[in-house]
Amino acid sequence: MQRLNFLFWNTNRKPLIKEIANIAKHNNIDVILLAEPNLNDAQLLLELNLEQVEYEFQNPIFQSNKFKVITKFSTHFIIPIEQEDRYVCFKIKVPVGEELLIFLIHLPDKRNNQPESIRSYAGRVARRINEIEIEQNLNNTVVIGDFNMNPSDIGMVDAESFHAIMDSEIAKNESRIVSKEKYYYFYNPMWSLHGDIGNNVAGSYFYKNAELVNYHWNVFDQVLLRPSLIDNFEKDSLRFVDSDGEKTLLTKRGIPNDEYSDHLPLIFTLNLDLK
Amino acid sequence: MTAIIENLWPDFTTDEIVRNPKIILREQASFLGKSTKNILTGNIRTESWRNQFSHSFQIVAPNLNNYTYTLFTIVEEDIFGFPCKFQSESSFSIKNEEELLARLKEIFSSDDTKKIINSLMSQSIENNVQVVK
Repeated sequence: MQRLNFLFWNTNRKPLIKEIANIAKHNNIDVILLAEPNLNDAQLLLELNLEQVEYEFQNPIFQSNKFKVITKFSTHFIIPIEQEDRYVCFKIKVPVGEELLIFLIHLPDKRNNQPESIRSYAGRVARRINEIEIEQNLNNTVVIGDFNMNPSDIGMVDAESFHAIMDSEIAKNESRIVSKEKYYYFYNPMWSLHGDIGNNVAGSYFYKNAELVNYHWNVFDQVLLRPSLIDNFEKDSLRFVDSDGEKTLLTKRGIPNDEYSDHLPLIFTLNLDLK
Repeated sequence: MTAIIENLWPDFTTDEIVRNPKIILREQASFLGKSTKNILTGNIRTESWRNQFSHSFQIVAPNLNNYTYTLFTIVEEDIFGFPCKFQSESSFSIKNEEELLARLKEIFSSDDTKKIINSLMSQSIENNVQVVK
């Protein structure tokens, strides 16, 4: 059995080296996934490995100005598969078990794109995920990133897109048939993090304007799991991080502090003894 | 008495076949191998979805477990090919073959593309990923 702790953070082009290292240290993070990074790789590694040399930048192929992947695994255990503008895909060959297929994604933002455009991108990425799972003969899939959609948005739920639902027991059915077509589920645990009951914050991204419809808190930063990983997922581990362990990432009003990022980091744990 | 059924179709020739975006992309994909001494290859992945064809221009590194980098995607919104939509970091419309060729030249010569190609070529030569295949 191996516990794998994941961190995802859209760092909004801020050089948050100290904050990333603090979160990694205080939460014993194994896999760090960043969107919109703007930091010096060497400085980040120095900070992460300050007390103990553990972290490595993974294959430089996918160290772009859009995504970064840093893990405690040797590069031999991280296999790059595919990259495009909106996602990076790679496999983790977990030493104790089988392989994980990881998609780190960042869909177009809501300020510059119509909801229909974001849905269209989402559908295309979701179809490509299905294809790569078939090509790799692997469905231990984790999709994590900034979707720029809330869990309840059509692009997340639509069977022809991510088909990501909030009930792990239903998702365990693996698929359903609609109009003679078979659609595979993702489990989306993020529904539970939208709202303030039982949560430290009501979402990961705060946006308030003078429109009549305004959610204020959004859950754009999400993780989706294929049903094969549901039993490996520690539900209680899932949370948005409001402090790097040494200082708060929120303003006095309790919303994400732009001085760091306008998004809050997301962490969760997988317990891997894959069959 | 048998009725004569008239063929209403005119004659079609292949002299005026329009070069659609996919043909143009495939030609350019084949040149990538030549330009990189076959260390990298070009591939066009076509997806048909709800009356749209999208063609992704992929750079494939055979020596890195076929790692694939998608440089951009062209979306044909109807059967006529042009105008089509270019999608990458930004999205814009392309009117005709001339404009597409000009855009391709610009993208292939950009610093970003050169950086990606150089990185994939040097890592393919190092061949360190193949060890764990």
